[in-house]
Amino acid sequence: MINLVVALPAEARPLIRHFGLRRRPDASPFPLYDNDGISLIVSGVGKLKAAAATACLHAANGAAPDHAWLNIGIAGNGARALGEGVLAHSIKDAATRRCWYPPLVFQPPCETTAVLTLDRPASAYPETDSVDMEASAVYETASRFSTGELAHCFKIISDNRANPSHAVSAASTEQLVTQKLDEIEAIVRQLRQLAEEMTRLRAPPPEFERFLARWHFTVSERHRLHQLLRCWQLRVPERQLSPAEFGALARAGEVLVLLERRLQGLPVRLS
Amino acid sequence: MIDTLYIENDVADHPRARRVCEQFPHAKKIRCERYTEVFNPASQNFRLQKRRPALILAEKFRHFVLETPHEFGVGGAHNYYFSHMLNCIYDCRYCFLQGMYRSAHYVLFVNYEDFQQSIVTTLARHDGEPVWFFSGYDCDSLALEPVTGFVEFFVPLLARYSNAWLELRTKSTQARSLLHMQPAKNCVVAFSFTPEEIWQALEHKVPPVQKRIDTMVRLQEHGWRIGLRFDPLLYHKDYRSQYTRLFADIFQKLRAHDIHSVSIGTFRIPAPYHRKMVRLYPDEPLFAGPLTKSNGLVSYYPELQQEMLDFCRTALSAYVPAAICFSCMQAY
Repeated sequence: MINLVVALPAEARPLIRHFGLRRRPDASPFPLYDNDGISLIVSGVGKLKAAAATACLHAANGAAPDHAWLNIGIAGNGARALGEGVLAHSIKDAATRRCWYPPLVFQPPCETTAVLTLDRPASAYPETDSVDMEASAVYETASRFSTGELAHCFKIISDNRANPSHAVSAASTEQLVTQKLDEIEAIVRQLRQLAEEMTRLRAPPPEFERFLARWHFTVSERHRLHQLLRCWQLRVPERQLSPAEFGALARAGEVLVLLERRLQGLPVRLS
Repeated sequence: MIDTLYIENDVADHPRARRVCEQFPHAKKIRCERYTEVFNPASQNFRLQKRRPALILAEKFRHFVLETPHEFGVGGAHNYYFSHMLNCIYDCRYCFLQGMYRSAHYVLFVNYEDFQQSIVTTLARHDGEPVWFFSGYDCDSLALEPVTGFVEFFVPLLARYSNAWLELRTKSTQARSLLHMQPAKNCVVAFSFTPEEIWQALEHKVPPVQKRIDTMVRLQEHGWRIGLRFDPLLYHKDYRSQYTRLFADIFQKLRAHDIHSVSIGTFRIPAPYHRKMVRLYPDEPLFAGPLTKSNGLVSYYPELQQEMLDFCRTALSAYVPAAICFSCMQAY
C-alpha cells in the first residue's frame, strides 16, 4: 500500500487520472481517493494541514505499520530548471531547524535535493535547497507510522529566479505534474515493493489464526504462540502444523508447552 | 559500492575526509550538522538500509578508547577497544551490530589523531605493562582499508610502543597495506571463520573461506602474527564434521606453531539486540535454533554451549597448545 499526500487539487488531478483513483465515499476532512493499493489525500497548503492530512490518511487506511508514503508537490529552486523532478535527500524545517534524512535504499529515477520547508512563501531562494511548504510535516508525521525508508518527498520545480512563483497557476502546476508521471510511477513502484516486503515479513505464520480460533490465548501467550509457530515454520517448512494435532488439550498454556517440547526435537537448520 | 556520502559540516575540509570524497567522485555528497541526525533516528530499518548503505564522515568527540567487556581478550590483563568506524560492509546474520544500531550506514570518524592521543594516554596509565587495543569491535578492521587508511595510520603508531598490542580483527582479504608494510611484532591480524556451509548461509558479502585462508597464509609468510577467531560457533546437526574440516583446512596451510592465539565462543546476543534482530529477520532460520534467554543474554542451552566449546577445544588441541586457546563468552 502506498499513500500519496499532495497539497493542491491541481497536483492531485494528474495523479488521480494516471492511477485511476476514485473518491472514497467515507466522510473525511480532506478529499481522499484510492484504487488498487494507492491512496491519495489532498491536504491544502502548509505544514499543519499536511501533517493533519497525513495522520488522517493513516487512520483511514487502518493505521497499518508498513505503508509507504510519498509527498508529491511543486517547489521553488533558484538554480534548477522549471519542470525538473527531484527527490528529497534531506528535509529541513525552516522554523524549528530540525532536519531529516530520508534513507534512499533504492536508486531514484531522478536527481536528489535538499528541501527546505517554509511556513510562508518567500521571495528569495536559498543557494541550493528546494523550498516548499509541506515536506517536513509530511515526513515527520509519516515516519512515525512507517520506517523512514518508506517515506519520501518528490518535488517538481515550479519556479526559479528567472520564473518567479507568482507566475505559477493551477494549469501550469497540473502540467508540471503530468510531465513527471513517469518518474512518479517509478518511485511509487519501488516504494510499493519495499512496503510489500515489509508487510510479508510481519505477517504471522499461516496457522496462527487457526490456533487463536481454537483456544483462548492471553496477549503474552499470543506472542509466544507467534514465536513458536515461526520457529516451526523455519525448522520444518515442508510440514504445516494443524491445531487438530493438539486437539486433546483444553488450555492454551498446554498447547504452548507441547509445541515447545515438539520443537526441541526438530532438526536445526541454518538455511 | 558507496553512492551516497553524508559529511558533517565541520569535517568537510578535514584532509582525511577530502581524500575519502575524492575516492567517490560520483557519489552524492550530502552535508549534515552531526552524524547522529542521520545515524540515530528511531524510524529506520537496518535490513532495508543494508541494500544501499551510505558512508557518513564524522568527528568523534569523546570515549575514543573504552575498556572491553569482562572476559574479552586473548590473555592480556588490560584490554581496550576503539572504533574508528561503526558498522561493517559485510552482512553476517548473527552479527550483534544489527541489534545495536538503528542504521546500517557506515560511520567513519576521520579524527584519527584524537584516537592516537587517547591511546597514548591509556598506555601511559599502565606504566609499561602490556595493554591490548582491539580494533575490530564495531566494524571490520581491514575491509574498508583502501578508503579509511586505518592500518596505515594505526599500525605504525602502535608499533612505536613496546607495551602496546593491537588486534586487527577481520573477515576481509584486503591485505595490501599490511603486505606493503614491515610486520609489527605487537600487532595480531585475527581472522574470523565459520565453516564453508555457514559462510554460505549466513555471512553475506564476506569473501569465501578459502580466499581468506590464502590471505592469512600470505600475511603469515610476510611475517605478520596471525590470530584465529571462531566466534561465534554456530550450532546445527553437522557442526562437528564442518568445524573439524574447517580446522583441518586452515592448519593444513598455516604454520600452527607461529599462531599468536585462538579464541572460541558460542553464539550469544544481548536479549534486546536479539529481539530487534528477530523483528528484522523473522525469516532467518538461525533465530529459530535451540536458543534460550538467561541473565539478559540469548544463547544456546548451557549444555549445548558446553558441548560445542568442549568439542572445538579438543579438535583444536590437535593443532595448537591449550595455552594459546581462549574462550570468549562475554556479553557485548
